[in-house]
Amino acid sequence: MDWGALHTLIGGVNKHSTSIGKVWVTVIFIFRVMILVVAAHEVWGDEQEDFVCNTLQPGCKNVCYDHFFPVSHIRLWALQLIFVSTPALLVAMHVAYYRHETTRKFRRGDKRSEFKDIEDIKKQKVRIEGSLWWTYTSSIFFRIIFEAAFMYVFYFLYNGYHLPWVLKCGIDPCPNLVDCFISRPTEKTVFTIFMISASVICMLLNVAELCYLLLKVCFRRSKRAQTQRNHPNHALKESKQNEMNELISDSGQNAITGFPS
Amino acid sequence: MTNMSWSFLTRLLEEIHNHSTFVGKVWLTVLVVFRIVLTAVGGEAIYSDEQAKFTCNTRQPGCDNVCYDAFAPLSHVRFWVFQIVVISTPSVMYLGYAVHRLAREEEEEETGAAEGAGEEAEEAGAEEACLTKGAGADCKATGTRGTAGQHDGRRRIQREGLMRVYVAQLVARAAFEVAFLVGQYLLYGFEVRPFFPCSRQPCPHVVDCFVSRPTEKTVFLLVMYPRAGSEKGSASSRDGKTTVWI
Repeated sequence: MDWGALHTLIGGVNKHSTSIGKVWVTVIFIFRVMILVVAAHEVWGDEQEDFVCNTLQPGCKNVCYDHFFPVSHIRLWALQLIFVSTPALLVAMHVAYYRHETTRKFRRGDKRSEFKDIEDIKKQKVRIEGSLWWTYTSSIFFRIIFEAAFMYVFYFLYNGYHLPWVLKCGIDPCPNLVDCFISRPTEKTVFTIFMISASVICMLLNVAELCYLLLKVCFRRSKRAQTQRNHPNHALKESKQNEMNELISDSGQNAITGFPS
Repeated sequence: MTNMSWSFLTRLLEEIHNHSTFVGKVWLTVLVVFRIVLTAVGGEAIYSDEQAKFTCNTRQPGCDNVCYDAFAPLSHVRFWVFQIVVISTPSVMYLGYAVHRLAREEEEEETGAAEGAGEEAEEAGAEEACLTKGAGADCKATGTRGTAGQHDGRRRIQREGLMRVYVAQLVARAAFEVAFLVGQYLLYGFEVRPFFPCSRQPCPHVVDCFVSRPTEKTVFLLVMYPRAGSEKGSASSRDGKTTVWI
C-alpha cells in the first residue's frame, strides 16, 4: 500500500486548511498511518497461521477463522483511512479549478493588478471563503460520517473492541464445539483501543473545525450587519463589492461591469 | 515500506530541529539516529520470529498461543514504537504552535510594512533588545528572522516569547521518558529470561515455555535503555540552566 502518495495528496490540501485541519493531518499520519504500517501489520501478520483450533479435523480451522474474522482489522483500518482522507480530494480539486480559472483570466489580462506572474497564482494561499467554504465544510462533514460509520462497523463485526483468548466454534466440518485460540489477543486489543481512540480524537478535531468554520461565518455576517447599521452607504458598497468579487472568482461568469466602487 | 513510514515522523523531527536549542538538537539526533533506527532495524530482525519460535513443553493445542499472550501482552518492539510516538508528540505540538506563531507574526509584519510605521518600530525594538542583552555577533545572526522559517537557538526562542511553551514541552517529554522507563521496568524488566512457566487454560498444568533468542534480546535492551537514561539526564541538566533566569 503506497501511503506516500496519499501523504503527498493530503499534504497539498494541508496548505489551504485551517490550523485544526493541519493538526488533523498530523494525527492521521503519525498516530494512525504510521502505527498501522510500522507496528500493526506485524501484530496481525501471523493471524491466520497462528489461529489454532483444538481439533485435527481438516478445514475446521479455516471455516472458524473465516467466521470470526470476515475482514481483518488491518484491512478495515486501511479502508477507513482511505475513506476518511478522500473528502480532502474535493477541496484539492476545487482549489485546482480556482487556480486554473485565475490563470486563464490572468492570461486574458484581467487579474494583472493582483498577481505578478503565474507562479504567484500557484503560490497564493487560497482563503476558505465563498464556494470553497461550502466544499471544505462538506468534506469535513463526510469525514465525520465515515469515521463514525467505520467505528460502528468494527463494533458490529467483532462484538465490541476486545478480543478474547478463546472462541467456541461449531461450524461444519468441525465435529463438535471446538476451542479456537487467537494469536496475540491482548496485543491486538491494545492496538484496537489505540486506533479507536485515535479515530475519536480525529472525529473531535473534525467537529471542532466544523464549529470553527460555522462560527467564523456567523461572526463575519454579524460584523457585516453591524457595519451596515453604522455606515449604511459604505457597508452597502462593500457588500456589493464582495459579492462581485465572489461572483468573479467562484463562478467564472462575466463580471458585472460598470458598477461603482 | 517500514522505513518509508518512519519518514512521516522523521520529516517532522527534522523540522523540529530548526526550532530547538543546541541541546534539543542533540537529543533529537540521538532519538532519530539511535532509537528509530534501532527499533526499525534491530526490532524487525530480532523479534520477527518471537511467536513462531515460542515453544511450550506440551502438545495441547492453544497452550502456545495463550502462554505467548501471557509472556508478552505487548511486544517490546510495539512498546518502543509507542514510546517514540508519545515522546515525539510534545515536540510536534510545539512545532505546530511555533510555526503558527511565526506565520501570524509574518502576516502582521506584512500589514505593518504596508502601513509604514510598524517596521521601523520593530527594528528599533529588536536593536534595543540586542543592546540590553549585550551579545555582539549572536545578535546579528538572530536579528534577521525568518531564514527559511527558522526559529532555533535559545536566544531566538526567548525573543519570540516561546520559552515558556518550549520548557513546557521539555518537561512533558522528560515526564514521558520517565514514565516509559518505569513502564519498561515494570512490564518487562531489562532482561529476557529463556524460560517462562505458564499455567493458563487450556494448558493442562504448569508448562515450561521457551523464548526465542533471549540473550540477543537482553543485549538489545541494554543497548536501548542506558542511552534513554543518559539522553534524559543530559537534556534536563543543560536545558535546566535556561529555565533559571526566566
